[in-house]
Amino acid sequence: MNFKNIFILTKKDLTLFFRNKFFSFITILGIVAYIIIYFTMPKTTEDKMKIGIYSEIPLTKIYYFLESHDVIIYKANSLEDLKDKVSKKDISFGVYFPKDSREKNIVKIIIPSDTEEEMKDAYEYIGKELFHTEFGYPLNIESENEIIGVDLEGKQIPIGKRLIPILAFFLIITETLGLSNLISEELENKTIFALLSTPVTVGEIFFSKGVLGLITTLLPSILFIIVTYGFKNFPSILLLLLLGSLFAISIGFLVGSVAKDLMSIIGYGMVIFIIFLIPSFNILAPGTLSNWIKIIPSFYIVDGLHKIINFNSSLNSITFNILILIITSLTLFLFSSFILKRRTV
Amino acid sequence: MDRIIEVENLTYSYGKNLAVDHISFFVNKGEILGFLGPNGAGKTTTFKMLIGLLKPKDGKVNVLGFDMSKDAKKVQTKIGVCFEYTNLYEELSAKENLELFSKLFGVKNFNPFKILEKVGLKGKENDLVKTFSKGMKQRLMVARALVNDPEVLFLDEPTAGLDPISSEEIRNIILEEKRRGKTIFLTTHDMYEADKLSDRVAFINYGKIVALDTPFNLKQKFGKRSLKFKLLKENGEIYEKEVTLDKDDTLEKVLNTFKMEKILTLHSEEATLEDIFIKITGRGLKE
Repeated sequence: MNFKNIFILTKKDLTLFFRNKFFSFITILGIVAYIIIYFTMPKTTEDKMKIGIYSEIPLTKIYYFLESHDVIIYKANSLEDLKDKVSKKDISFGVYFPKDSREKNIVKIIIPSDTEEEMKDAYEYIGKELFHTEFGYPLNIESENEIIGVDLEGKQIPIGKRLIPILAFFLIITETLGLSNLISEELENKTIFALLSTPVTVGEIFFSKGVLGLITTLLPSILFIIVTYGFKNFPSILLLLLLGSLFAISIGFLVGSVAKDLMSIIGYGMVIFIIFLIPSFNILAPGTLSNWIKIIPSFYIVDGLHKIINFNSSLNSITFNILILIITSLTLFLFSSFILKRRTV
Repeated sequence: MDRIIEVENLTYSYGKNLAVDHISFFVNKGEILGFLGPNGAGKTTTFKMLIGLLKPKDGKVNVLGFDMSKDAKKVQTKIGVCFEYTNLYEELSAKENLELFSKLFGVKNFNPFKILEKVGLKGKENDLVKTFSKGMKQRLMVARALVNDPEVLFLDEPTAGLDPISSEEIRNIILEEKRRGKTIFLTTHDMYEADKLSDRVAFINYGKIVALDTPFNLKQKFGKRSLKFKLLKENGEIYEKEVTLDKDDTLEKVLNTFKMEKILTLHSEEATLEDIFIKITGRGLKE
């Protein structure tokens, strides 16, 4: 393996990559857009409830009760003020005590129209509880909670942080299109034969393509992680990004070896994107997908990154992810090498 | 005379289809060998085996004293290749294309301007190849084959599909390289080109070499030379007469014609390589 030749070929491929306006645009757009998306997403979770109260009678116990339960109270000046705050979603819901609430056993709950049914029930229950707290009639309700699995109470992950592993993976997988295009063009335009009639070997040509793939997939994802997450757990993250890049490169080689032109690359790319993005939903909304997503190799990238970034997991806990990624990448490399060998004769 | 290319019993097949069938030939130093045959005759397959892109199924190729099956990469530093199809990097400039290959060949102090001027692309150095015409691209392909100042040039249909002016310019470059002592292997199906450029020509048909000699010898051996007269009868009618040369009665027939008839025009004719190819193989070069 002549590293001088690999350097020359990689430099050539980088020039060609960035001369392609489409691929250079999506590379820059990807980095900028994903960083913007991250910074526009909430960085904290709201675990304190805000309740608005307007009462036409003096209340003595409710405020003390709510404050002792870490609830933020908004004391409205009027019913209209209370409704206004609810509609603007400044508060979760409102409780209105009319003049005759004690006599008629009435309390009104003001809820935003788009509240889910389950939450409506919960708000109604809280309203009744408050009524009985104030007026002294205990509710004859008993409830018991049992937490199954990891208790994330008080440790909820904000959406912004959930997005970091997903967007890092998006950046990696998007760049495979550019690599596939370079491989496909080299084969279709037969420039590979011009290279092979020089002292360059077929191994050096594809090694340089791998280097290019590593530059275009790994560097943007590292940059994104540093900007959004900093250097915390950096060695572990770097290892997973590297494995993710190798996996993406192997996909790039496979698509490049079978595609005939840019349209077919985009076609294959779309199919791959859709399939490989499915495991991301499990991170955004845990429990929405079942175990079958584990057959999609990209699961092991986003899941590994998610565990390290959002749960400070150690490398030991993602050994299986690492193993799967190495095996999948090697298999895909072998398969695409076989196709590429056939196409260079 | 040094044999720069030596081919022995060379064979290649695509599946059951025998593309090159046990051919043997050699090319001497400073010689142009024209490899002439119709499409699908086995020219390009032979070409690919000679430059080390295809491994022969059988037989041996020696270039510059090296066995291509073992030392292809050593040989490839000393040869220049121009392919039948345009395989340039279209998004790079002419200069960048040449510089890339000069670096891969390890050429020191490479001057792309000099070589581009040589092929008539002066002033186009920084233009992207995708803006070039077919003729300009072909000239750049030839320029690329020359970046390492190769000892042997392999040219596969270098003028295919070009206009007469571009073709002539490329032929002149080939002849200049011959004058500089380069050995050239030229595949073509253009009999005019083969005749004009080649010291010797090999006819390949269905993977086999059916004739190999100098164009002159081939014409002598297989062709016929003649004199064509355009004559005027007394009644004003114009007619043609052909006298075959190199026969025992040729002189007598020519003299009689001069004595007896009124000659309007007279010119000699000789067989073309295509005529000879058809005579030998029973098929044309453009099939």
